[in-house]
Amino acid sequence: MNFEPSRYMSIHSNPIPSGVLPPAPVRLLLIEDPAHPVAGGWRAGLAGFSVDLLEPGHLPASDQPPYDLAMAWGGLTDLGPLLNLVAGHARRLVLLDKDAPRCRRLPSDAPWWFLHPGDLASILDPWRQGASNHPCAFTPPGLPCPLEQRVSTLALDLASHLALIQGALAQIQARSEGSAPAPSDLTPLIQALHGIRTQLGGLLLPGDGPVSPAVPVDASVLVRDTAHILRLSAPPAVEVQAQVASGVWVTGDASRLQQALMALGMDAFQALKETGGTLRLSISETRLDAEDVAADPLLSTGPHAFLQIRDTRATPGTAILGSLEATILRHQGRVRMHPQATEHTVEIFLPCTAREAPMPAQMPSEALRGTEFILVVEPDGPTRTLVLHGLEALGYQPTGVATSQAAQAELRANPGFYQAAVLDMDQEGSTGLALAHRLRHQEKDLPILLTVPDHLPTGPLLELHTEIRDVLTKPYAVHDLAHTLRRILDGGATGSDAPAPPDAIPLPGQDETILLAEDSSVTRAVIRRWLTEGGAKVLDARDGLAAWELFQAEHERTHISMVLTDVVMPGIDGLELARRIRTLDPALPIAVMTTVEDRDTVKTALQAGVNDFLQKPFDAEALWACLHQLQQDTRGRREARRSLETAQAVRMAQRALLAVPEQDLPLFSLYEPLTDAGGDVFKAFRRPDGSILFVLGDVAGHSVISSYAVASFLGMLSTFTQPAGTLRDLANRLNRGIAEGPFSEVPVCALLGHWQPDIGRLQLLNAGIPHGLHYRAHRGDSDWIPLNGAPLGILEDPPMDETVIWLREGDRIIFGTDGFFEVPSATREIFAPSVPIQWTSLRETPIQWALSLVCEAARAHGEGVISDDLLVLGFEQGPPTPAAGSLVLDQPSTPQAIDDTCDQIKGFLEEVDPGKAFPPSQRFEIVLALREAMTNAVFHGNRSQSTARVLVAAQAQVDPLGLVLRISDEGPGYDLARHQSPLAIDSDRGRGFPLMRSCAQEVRMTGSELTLVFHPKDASHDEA
Amino acid sequence: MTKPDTGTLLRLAPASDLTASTVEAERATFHARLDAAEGPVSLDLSGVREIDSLGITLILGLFKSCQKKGLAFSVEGVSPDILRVFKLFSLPKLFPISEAGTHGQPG
Repeated sequence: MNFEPSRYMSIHSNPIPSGVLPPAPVRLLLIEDPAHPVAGGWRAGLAGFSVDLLEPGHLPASDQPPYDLAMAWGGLTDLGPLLNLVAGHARRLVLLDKDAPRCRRLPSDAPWWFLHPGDLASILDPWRQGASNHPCAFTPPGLPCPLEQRVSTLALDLASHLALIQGALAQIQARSEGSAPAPSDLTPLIQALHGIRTQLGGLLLPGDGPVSPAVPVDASVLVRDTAHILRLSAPPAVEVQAQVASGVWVTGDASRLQQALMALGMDAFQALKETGGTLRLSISETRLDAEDVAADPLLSTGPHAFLQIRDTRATPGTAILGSLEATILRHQGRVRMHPQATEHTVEIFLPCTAREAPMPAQMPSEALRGTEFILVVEPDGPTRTLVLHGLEALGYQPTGVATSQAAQAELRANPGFYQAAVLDMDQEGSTGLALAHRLRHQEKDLPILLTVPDHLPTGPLLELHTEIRDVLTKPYAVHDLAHTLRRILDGGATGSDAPAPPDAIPLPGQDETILLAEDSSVTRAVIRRWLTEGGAKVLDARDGLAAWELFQAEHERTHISMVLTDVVMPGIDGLELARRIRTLDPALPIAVMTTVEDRDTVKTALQAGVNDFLQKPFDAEALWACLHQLQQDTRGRREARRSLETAQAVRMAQRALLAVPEQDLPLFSLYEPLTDAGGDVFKAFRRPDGSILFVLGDVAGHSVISSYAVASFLGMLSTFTQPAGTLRDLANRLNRGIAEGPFSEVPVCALLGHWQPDIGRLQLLNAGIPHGLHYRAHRGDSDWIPLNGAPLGILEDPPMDETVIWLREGDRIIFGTDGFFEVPSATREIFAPSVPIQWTSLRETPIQWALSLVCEAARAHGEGVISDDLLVLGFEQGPPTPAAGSLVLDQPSTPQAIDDTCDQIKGFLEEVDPGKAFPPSQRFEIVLALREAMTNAVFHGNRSQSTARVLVAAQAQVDPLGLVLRISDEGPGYDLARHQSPLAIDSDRGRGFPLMRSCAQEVRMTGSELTLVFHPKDASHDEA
Repeated sequence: MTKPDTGTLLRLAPASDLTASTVEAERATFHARLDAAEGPVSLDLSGVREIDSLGITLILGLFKSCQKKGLAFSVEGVSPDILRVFKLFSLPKLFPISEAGTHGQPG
């Protein structure tokens, strides 16, 4: 790029009154090289103006009146001469660039502006909105040049020139390696230059300061998009390749980073345009350690995004390295350049936003512990004992009594001794309420927690009985009790005498209309009062049917903002109400009030389209918090939709949806984020044994907070996946990490998968992303993968389905978030039902293109509009390549197959255990257990349908020595805990599992996969 | 009530292992022969190396049929491995079982 500051001075020859733009109509001239179009959403800002295009090297027609604005991109080749040519044809020039340092080298009083493309719309908007009546005065962005900025600019120039020299020297050194006579060693000179550049980098920082805005940015998407844009604008003989690892996030300014990458790409194009060649962009996550930092003190330890931009240029140098360094330094990152004889590499390290997350503490959580003296009044002996033991285990000093009289006597005998009392509602000859009243009479400040049966409405209890500080519904875990006690003891009381009045957290917006369905008139009245006190309008119904009729009658006329419904109601219940409402309005926020953390209810509610849960008992504060969250989510969706209608719509409508391979992994993903903030995440890890762990996440909302929540989630993933564990372990850690982390208000739906491509085993755990399809090559059709689960970060023990699928060669899997499966059509029908047919019909298409095409089909279903983040993941099972010490058998469902399998496992044992670590008697038991498992799979799981398959995998383990057998059928699986052993000795059935349990050291079921684990018994086994 | 062991001993010997792939055929054979039995019935497992839960169910079926007919039932020639399985389900409490090598001495 040739900047010739002296030639810019000629632009001064055509001055206009300072800062005043002429009235409309406005004529714009856009100078653009068609081979290198400038991408991005900034073009939307030109809508409504008359825009002429001019290719570099051409002149505007001389008979045309001068243009009001001529716009060029700062990255254009030979920009200086170009501007000189255009200067006589435009009143003012706008140089679009994201690279402020480049601007500083130009005189600040020139009749051209330097604009960040993102600011273009804001500059042009006033013009568009009525400049014809009053010419708008603009002040061009000022370019003050205090001393430190001059120093910074000088440092930048120096760094740039030195980078060139360093690159040239390195290239000379690389080319001359091995040649004779040996040239002088240039290494010290190169190192010295590098040192000087590092020092100059220090001068850049004070002048520029940290980058702003600094928000979490998905750098993987950035690299992928940049590669895509570069591919479209590459010279004919230049190939652009990209290798992207998903889910690498950094903090910074997305547009500046993209501009930096674009500049590197364009620089490579300049170097390659004559000779042709390859440009490769890649991004992955790397962990820098103390050694790395010692080598470069400006780096920090921890996870970093590692970007590589490599090209096959033959000439040295990266002219834009200086400005690139400025951008990267301001992002707390570092740039390295490695020019070699046949390849030129620029490496960029940027600190990941996702820092290492603290491992959640093991239960019991420290936050639940205490040392206070607690009086427990519980008439039921076993319950009392459990509560006392539980509280003692958490450090409390509880005293238990069975009756009201004993409680009163205890308090009289020890005045002021107890810091809280836990009373059960059922007291012998009395009630907990009456006892509370009497105890408070004895000690007026004693905080009282009441435990109640689940049929009692707790809201009114707290409303009417001010002596009760909080209510806990039975059945409860000791941790629930401790949690509530801690809230009371720490002053966070929630009852009606709590310090925070209901209006402390007002419902945002005074005109929200809430449909309330609750069959208890008392509870309904209390909630209604809370809502109306907060300024909301309430449509209330006494049951589900009345609510449904009310909704049908009102939803067109009245804008219902939210629905709050009880679950159990006469007529239709709350979940059916939610289902019906979803048929008319797929986006309306719905919250259900649950009495207990009922797993089935939560699952069903999620399936019914419920957005949030409000667990009874709740107070006004919790109600507001829930509604506030719902409203925020809705607003986020609205804003997202608005955003979609502008720049995003253009982008999504114009660009192809392309699936990309995951770096070094046989996975393909397609991710189109709706906005730059928040959204879906995908991350995959290769485990040391070659298997792949992947996670799809859907983080609630599209706010900046959601972005931070994404970054936090990714940090947890990086940390929690380090120790090898089960998917459930990982999910539990994530759940607690989210709940106890800084973004606990942002739940995350997730799908966790562990795929072993060598044997075709795919284990899945679902926490809120229920969409997955399995194309079975041997049958030629696609099945839904039935999995359910609640989002992470809401419930202490969220329901999560887990299953195992055995993939055969040619089988394909597709997972997606709701932004793909639930794309609504104009008639509000979602895309999901048509996916199985589409996915099957694409079976002959390479998986990468099949993913792209099915996403295009989703977009077509939505008539060109996708209203949420779109994330899909797909992969295809290749031929199994079991490693030594493992065996995979794919068997039909026949009795003969059972014998064949047993014979093969006997042979396998001979092969892997020549030393007879498993003695003959134990081998008999292994085969016996396998035989039972196979019998179960053939006759029960597959119901003797010979075409249904049974997968058997055997894996010999070294440390500890053992054998793992996995038997999987096509049935739904079953709960081993519910299996009953035969009651009578001569029973005709029920011996299979007792046999397996007797023979194997471990028997477990995951989905339809039965796992048997054997370890060698001691030598006495045979003798015994 | 079991009849005194006065009739002719019926010895049933499976032609193969007693597992899922064989039990149905063996069951048909055994019950056909059992219909004609009037004396004690002995199941000879000396040729059986492997058994599974379906095989055990088959043996229990034979035992119950004998019970109905008032015939004594015993199992002989049982390998140590199979005997462990029988003990797991307390079969020795139902009928006499003798290990291989102690042929003819049920106990």
